[in-house]
Amino acid sequence: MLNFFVNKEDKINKKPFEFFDIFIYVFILVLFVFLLLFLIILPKKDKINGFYVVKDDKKILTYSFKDNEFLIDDSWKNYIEINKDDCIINVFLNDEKTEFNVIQYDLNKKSVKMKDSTCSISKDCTYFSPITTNNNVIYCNPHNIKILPIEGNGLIQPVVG
Amino acid sequence: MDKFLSKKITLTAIFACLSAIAFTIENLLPPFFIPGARLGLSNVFILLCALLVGKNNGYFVLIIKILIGSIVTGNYLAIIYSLPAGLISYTVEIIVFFNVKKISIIAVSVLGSVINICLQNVVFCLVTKTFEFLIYMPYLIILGTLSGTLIGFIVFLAIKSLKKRNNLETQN
Repeated sequence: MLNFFVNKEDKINKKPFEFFDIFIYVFILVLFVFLLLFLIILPKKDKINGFYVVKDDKKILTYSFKDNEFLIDDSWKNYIEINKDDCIINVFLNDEKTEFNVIQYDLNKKSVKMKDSTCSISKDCTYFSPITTNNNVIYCNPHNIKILPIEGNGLIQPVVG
Repeated sequence: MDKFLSKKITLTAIFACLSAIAFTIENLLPPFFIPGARLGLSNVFILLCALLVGKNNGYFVLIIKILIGSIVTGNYLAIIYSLPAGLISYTVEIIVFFNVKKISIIAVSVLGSVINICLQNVVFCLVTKTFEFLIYMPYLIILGTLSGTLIGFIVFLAIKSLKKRNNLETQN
């Protein structure tokens, strides 16, 4: 089979490691170190004081850990259920309440994560690490829902949009 | 010439099917350490097609894999993220592999995998306007290196065993 289809057979008569591989690995290493430095190590990371939930670029819910208060957009009041005892927020995306995202927050650790979702089979959004610092975000791609951190002194910011 | 052309078309179609199947199965599995990240085993068939059939046929396999895989899994957004990143990384792979003499398929696969995964992250950040996801870039580079190495090794071993079998057949 190889004789029929190989245009340049010498190109595949190769060893697993060759000389110029070093340049590729060095390039990747330099890129990794550069990105690690400028994206993770050097930027200032502050603890979050709350979070807000954005759906289709519209802020639908805001929460402050300091005040333990929620601000919900008027048009979403029938679609969001809050269980303060279990620290669970259910965001329903349809009237039948068959499509939803479940958000869990932790008052002691001041963190928030996506606990469950009906977005897809793999539920990628539930695998994001909990948001504890200001440079993290959780995004549910199929439902277009984002959970973003609030920095600052913890005052509840007005819901816009 | 016609015999070779029909064989090329058939082999390309087989690689395209295998790649689409692998892409679909991968999307059903949980993410590979980082949300949205996959092992990329479907790229084995793209590289094999490029090496065994032709560079241009590899483009066909890549496009079919992304289109069919997105339709079957229902993840239409994958077309926006995977297609430009896949085309650019594959182009870089074939330019490097077929123009640089002393370079292995494993290193080329690693390079392509890292470029692919980083570009997908950049496109994702631009489309969703959430640039905070750029912090995953260093971890994605590690994942890209690991998966690229695995894919490169699989392709290398596949080519090696095909050559051995081909030599045995010609001897007989």
